[in-house]
Amino acid sequence: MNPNQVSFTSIPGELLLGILAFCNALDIIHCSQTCRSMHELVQTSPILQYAIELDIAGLCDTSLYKSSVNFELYHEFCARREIQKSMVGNDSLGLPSRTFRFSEGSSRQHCTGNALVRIYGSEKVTLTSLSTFESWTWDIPFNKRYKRFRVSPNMNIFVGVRTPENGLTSDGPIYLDVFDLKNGRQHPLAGSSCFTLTESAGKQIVFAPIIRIQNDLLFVWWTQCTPTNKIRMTSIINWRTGNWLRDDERSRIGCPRPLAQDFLIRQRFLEENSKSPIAIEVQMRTSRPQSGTDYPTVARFLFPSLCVPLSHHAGFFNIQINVTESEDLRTVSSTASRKFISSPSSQLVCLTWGAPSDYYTLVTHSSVFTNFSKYIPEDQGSDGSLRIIPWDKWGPANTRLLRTDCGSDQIHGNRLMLLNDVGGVKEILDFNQLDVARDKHRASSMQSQSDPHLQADSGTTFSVKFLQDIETSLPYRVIFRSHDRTPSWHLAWILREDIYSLSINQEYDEVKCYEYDKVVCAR
Amino acid sequence: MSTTEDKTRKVKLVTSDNEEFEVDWEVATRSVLIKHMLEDIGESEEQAIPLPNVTANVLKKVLEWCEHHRKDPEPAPESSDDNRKRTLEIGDWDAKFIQVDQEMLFEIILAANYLDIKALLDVGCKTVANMIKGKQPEEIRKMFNIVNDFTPEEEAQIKKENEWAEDR
Repeated sequence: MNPNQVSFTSIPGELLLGILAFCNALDIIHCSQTCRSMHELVQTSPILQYAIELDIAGLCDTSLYKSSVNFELYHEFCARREIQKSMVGNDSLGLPSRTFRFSEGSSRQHCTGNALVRIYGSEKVTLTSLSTFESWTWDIPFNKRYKRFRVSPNMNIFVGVRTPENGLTSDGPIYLDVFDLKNGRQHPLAGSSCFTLTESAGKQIVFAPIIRIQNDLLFVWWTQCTPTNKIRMTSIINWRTGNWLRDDERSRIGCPRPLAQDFLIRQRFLEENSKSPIAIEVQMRTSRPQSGTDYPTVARFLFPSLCVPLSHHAGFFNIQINVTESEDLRTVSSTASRKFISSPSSQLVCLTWGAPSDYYTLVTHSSVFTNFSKYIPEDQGSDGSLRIIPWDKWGPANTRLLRTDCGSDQIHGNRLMLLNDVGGVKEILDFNQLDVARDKHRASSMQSQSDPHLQADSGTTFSVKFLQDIETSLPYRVIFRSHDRTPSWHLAWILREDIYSLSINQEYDEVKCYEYDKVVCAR
Repeated sequence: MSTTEDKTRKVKLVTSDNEEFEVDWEVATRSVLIKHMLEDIGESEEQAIPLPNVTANVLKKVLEWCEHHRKDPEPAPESSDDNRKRTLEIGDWDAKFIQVDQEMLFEIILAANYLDIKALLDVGCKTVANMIKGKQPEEIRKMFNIVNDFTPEEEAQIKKENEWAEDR
């Protein structure tokens, strides 16, 4: 082959972006799966991420066609703007709600835990605390951008990972920005050296780390490639004490990698502070590859002693729940489960299986090393109380039928909300009180009245999708899409315990929160 | 800048492989780059414009396009929604014109970008976008000879990350 021959991969990135700007979200995603450079290109392009967002949200019909040279539309949305905050006491229903008004839209927004994060291009980040409704804005340093960010659901901590723009061949350090949402200041530990992950210089490929916040602990998994070695690092940082653990697993490039990984978590208590768990040891164990076309297992850490490895096969989740109590590893597995939802801040897992959303299995775990029991809803028509099945008696035979109209359910705190087909609440299962709060009519009407776009009689329906992405999943984001494809759209997130839902109306550019506890009290 | 003699004026272009092309002013100025260069050198006659990034066979093809589109109106400023929401539709003549092998297609895109011929660049980009449309990653790799440099694990992870978009 002629070495000077022009091929697809030799086209400069800006032109590839121009090509991809004519593609729809799915095509862009497919391209990003072809090779590293394409993946990096798509991941690091705010405009493509934005196009994917819009497309998925149903804001544009099938594709977002843009000029290949003029990114006017993009700049329109990315222009620097200040948040204008205005509070509204009650909406027309008397349902307590809080409304923010933003003067204009941002390029990316993400709601997680206690904060709403809005990123303006690669220039500015605005963080709004949903506890105090204060906002903080800071500039992203030149040539750096947030690869990933995460807000702890119950710790009021924002962690952003900054990498150089060309992160794939980065030879510089990766920085973690840590902000305290209580006062909007940088966390005292953020400036210390342990938050700079790569200290060595030289040409290295550094992948943006996966970050995860678990109570006092910050987990960081990252991979560093030198010409001969691939080093997988796990850093665990306790920001209260400043302690941190670091572990690397070196493997030569080209070695066959295990297909499935099993994470084993052990809890360790450091001597100087026995009150709170200081570190969690994460071991990656290789288990036998899953048969056939199973995808590798990924693990989702739920609470300190429980992790749920998920493997995915043909639309079904095979779920294994591993609980470590001392050295004893217990495993419960369920095959052919369709859906898996868990709550970020509370300790509740819901497995859905059987025909679409026919069966629920609910797993709770109140604290480390205490009882592990399961609450399984009774048949419809019973008194609605929940039965506790001991951990060792658990099995598919113990589950009972619970039908829902559609498969769109949410977990808020310790409550599972079963939604009907217009997004209203059909049933609320409360696992604190082991009680089923049945308030179909009222909850449903509240929802549809407060959200005019979801009214049943308007002919508008919506579809709900749970993002199963392990790195951005908690809390899950639910996207409501209206069929009439009007420019108004809704994004709702499962939020912390006491906020019922949050919707964003792009047309009016406002955000509305419904507070869950107040809804329940109103009953 | 535009005078009556522009209509008849000829412009000389020299490619990277030293081939000389003489074309009408109107044709050559489809390229914003050439237009600006002509403005820079002013009315001083007969100076050949060097195009060190374009080879003769590609320029020939590009000029074919410019020749056909010489009478096209200047693209309007991108303001209306129609411009923003363009489709993947390509005109009949353009579709026929762009039926070339992959290498030439990419060459045309690069040349159009260099010469700053926005409409031609769009035709090229749309053509590639149409090729990508509806294809699986593996098919895209095969089509464009992209080497898959993910490890199996990474590939599966990425696939999994994007799963939610697949069946909407």
